[in-house]
Amino acid sequence: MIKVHCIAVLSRQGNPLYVGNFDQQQEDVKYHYLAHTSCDVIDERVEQNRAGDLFLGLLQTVGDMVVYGYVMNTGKRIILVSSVSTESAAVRNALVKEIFQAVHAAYIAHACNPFNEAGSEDRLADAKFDSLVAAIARARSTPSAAEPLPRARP
Amino acid sequence: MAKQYKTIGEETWKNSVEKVSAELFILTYGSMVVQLVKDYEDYSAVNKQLDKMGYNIGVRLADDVLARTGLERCPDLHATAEVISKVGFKIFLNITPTVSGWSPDGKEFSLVLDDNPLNDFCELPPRAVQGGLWYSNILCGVVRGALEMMHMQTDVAFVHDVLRGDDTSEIRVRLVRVLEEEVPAGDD
Repeated sequence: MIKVHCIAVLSRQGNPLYVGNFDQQQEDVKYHYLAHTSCDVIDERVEQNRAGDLFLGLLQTVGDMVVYGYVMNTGKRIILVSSVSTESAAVRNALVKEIFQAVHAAYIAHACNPFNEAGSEDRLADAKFDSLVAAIARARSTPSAAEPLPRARP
Repeated sequence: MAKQYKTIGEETWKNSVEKVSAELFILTYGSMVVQLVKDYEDYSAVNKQLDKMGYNIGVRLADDVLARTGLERCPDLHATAEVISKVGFKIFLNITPTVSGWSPDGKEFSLVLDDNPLNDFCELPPRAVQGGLWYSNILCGVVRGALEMMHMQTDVAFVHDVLRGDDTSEIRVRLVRVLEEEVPAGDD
């Protein structure tokens, strides 16, 4: 299990498309800041990442927050903010990668909606995407780690 | 009789139908509806256009279905409803809507779609829901067109749609009148 504080989706240029704050104690602005500072690290990793792996791994650690990154095939980025933990890096990475893949699938389902303006740089204002990502974050925040993550299309 | 239609539908679907990617079809239909919405800006006009398009498809489909399946004339509206559901919808969309809600005079029935593939990925914006958009209205036109080729004038319309927040998607079919039957040459 992993306590997810924030999941953010950024455009290729780094504009925030979606910032989901699942931590009641922190304000949104802190996660906006974290997302922004992660942009440079992501750009660097993408440069190095010739293998084409979508999961970028641990990007940075700020205080007690750890930030993981993932890049979609279209260049959009997903970052996940969690707290420092004592689990091994490999276990953590596997969990986080799974979450990223679920969020990626949710994003694809959102993009396929014909009523959405695809490729826009504006904020994603879709209640369904919002609730899906929240459900994904919630599912992994509790110890019942065996269930598959929520999907848009059953 | 119903079992026979079901078998015919499944056999034809398995053997005589060329398949195309479902996602391609769904995305094409979606972008067509969105384009119509942008062009007309009035949701009831979009509904009418979808119905007209469906009608043009339906009048051509009827011959297609009969040629593929070799079905004979249906004795009554009940049998027709079964054919639409178990053969028609099955062959073209691989779904079998449930036939129900028969009116006492036997002239109206409902097709309840448990799973409408056109709805995958689609979320109607609130404006569209308020404006009265029936997203899959093309299906109503198709049924109306096909039945007109079978010499039945009908009114076909959506009454419920899951995209609008209802529990099910339901199409209501009402027989208005049977059109003048012409006896084909050579029939005894």
